[in-house]
Amino acid sequence: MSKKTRKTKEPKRWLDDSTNVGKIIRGFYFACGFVMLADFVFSIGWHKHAALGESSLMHGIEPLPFFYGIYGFLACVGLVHASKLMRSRKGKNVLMREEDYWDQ
Amino acid sequence: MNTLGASIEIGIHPAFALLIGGLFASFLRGRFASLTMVFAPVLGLWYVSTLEVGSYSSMHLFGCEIMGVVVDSQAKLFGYLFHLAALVAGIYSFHLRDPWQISMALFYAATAVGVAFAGDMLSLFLWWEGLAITSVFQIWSRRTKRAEDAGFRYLFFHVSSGLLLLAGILIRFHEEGSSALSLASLTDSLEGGDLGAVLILLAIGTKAAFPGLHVWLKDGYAEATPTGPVWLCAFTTKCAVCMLIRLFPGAEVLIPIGGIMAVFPIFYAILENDLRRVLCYSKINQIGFMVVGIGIGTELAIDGAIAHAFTHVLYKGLLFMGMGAVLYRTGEIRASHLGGLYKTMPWTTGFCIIGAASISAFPLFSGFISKSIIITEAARNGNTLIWLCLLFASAGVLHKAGIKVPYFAFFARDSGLRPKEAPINMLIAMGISSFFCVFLGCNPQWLYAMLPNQAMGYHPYDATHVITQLQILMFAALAFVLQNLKGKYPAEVPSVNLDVDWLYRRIGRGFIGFTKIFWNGLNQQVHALFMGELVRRVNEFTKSGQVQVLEFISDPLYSLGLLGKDSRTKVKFRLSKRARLGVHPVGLTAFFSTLFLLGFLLMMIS
Repeated sequence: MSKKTRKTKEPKRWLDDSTNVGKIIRGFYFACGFVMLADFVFSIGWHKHAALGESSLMHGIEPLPFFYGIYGFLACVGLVHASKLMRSRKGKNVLMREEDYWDQ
Repeated sequence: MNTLGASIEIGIHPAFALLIGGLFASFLRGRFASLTMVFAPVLGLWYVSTLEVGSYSSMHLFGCEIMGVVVDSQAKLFGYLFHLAALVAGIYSFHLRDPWQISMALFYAATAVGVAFAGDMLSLFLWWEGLAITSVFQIWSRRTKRAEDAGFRYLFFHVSSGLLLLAGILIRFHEEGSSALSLASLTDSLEGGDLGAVLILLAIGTKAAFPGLHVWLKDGYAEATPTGPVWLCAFTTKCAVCMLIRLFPGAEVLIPIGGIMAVFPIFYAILENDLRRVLCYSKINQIGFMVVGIGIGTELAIDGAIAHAFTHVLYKGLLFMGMGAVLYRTGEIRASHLGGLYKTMPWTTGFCIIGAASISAFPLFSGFISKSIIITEAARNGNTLIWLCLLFASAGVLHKAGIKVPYFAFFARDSGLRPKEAPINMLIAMGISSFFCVFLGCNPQWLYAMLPNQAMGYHPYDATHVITQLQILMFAALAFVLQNLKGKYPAEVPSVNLDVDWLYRRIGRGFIGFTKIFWNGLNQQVHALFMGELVRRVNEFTKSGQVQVLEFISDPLYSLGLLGKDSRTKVKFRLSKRARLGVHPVGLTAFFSTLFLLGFLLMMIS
């Protein structure tokens, strides 16, 4: 296994420039907007078939425009918050331990 | 029908090529040993392709007929998969020069093929045990104390799984006789509360990493060699999925189990710092999808589970290969110590991103064509809660395996590490897996045609599927981007997170502590009582006994003038001292011995 560190005269890469990172993030926002627009147009203009059967409580909600986007976004925000709580709560560790916890 | 041998039908076993390869690898050295990892799977792959569906081979052993091989479309598909996985892992591990690790890897792949083609419970049990023993060497070969300990914990789970399987088989054999040895569905028996079926489910569940039985996976794989998880991730859990499909299709209990498996690992994966452990958690999450599909049990859902097992081996192997290359080149796998590796490992970065897109089930990548079948079937069969869980899991897997793994390893901050690009053999292996991830993603009909029910004419690329899937993934990614930009995403810190292993590792330590105190304490007490007190007292008794006797008889002997002319007190003192120290003159000892013998004879005569 080799661990090489070379700090002199390294060529600057495209991603090293923060403006380029900003361009990627902006492009990503546009892509999100485009997907939302596509969903909206598709839901209104064409037939978007429901995944759930009529007996399901969510049968009426699921085919609505943006349902998947909102669900995905909220799921991930909730996921990260819940994970943080699992790690530590009010400064006290819940599940997180030192790296050598099992070696002690 | 493959027939070979004299009187009984027995074909060359599909695992034969890998077994012979393993045998050769055990005594070949250098590149010749590595070459077996390429040739044996290719040969095996060709042989599997020649097997006709419906053929079998059996042998008689101890009066029982063992169905060694039964070829059906499911077995054949898993046969292709395991050989393909062995080939890719073999190319990836080509630089290895450890014959022990190489031969055991091939034996391990062979046992997995054996499980896939097993025709009855007995042959399944033999291959199942082989799977446990051969796989652990991918962990032990790292040769660290941690790996050794993790290997033993891994083995504990897998040997227990084998014992549970044997117990289940024997209970069912006792109840039903030889018909219990067939690999027919046990779903009805399970739902009827049959203990044998429950034990068999537990045995398979241990290997499938059911909730609570899953810790061996994140524990063992994370301590394995850089190449180890590439082998490990392909076979053990997929054998379990293969057997669940055979034995428990449509078992409703699997639906909630699969739902839990799909959801709970995501939370852990977000927190985990070890990137291979993140992949382990995402592996449990992906197996959860398959278990749900098996639990739903419709023809399409079962096909979805098999298809997902197939694509999963490819993309999960690819991600483990990427992380293995990082570990191999940098010696580091903790997210907190990595970052910026794309600068010097661009190919590995690219392949890893393909793996990440596949596991996240982006359209045109392999995960999409299999995962969408299971999610669709969950919805169609009215499992709304499970459907919501699977959607949540789809969004979550993008966070942890889709973004976290490539982002923290190759981008994020600059760790200052400038390792070389992965070795060429690793790049070729990653390239092959990447090709299949994209190829199957774009041409699902190739995979669907091999499924037992040809996916029932399912078509993943309709507008609703593509738009809804893209939407959920893009907005899950948006949540990551926004949280990361605002510093709300949990920082990567060197740590471990307590899982169910806390219970048994703490109980285990407590048990060892208890036994240490109890048995050592008991030992000390017994030692003090018998060796200290009792022996001392017996010693004292015997010593003082002879002193008393001597003092008793010294008076008449002194009166007779046999003990010299010193004063009576002096003589008594001298005799007592000699008796205590055991230094009697020989004559005196002989005299008493004679006296004792005479007394004894007189007693006998009287």
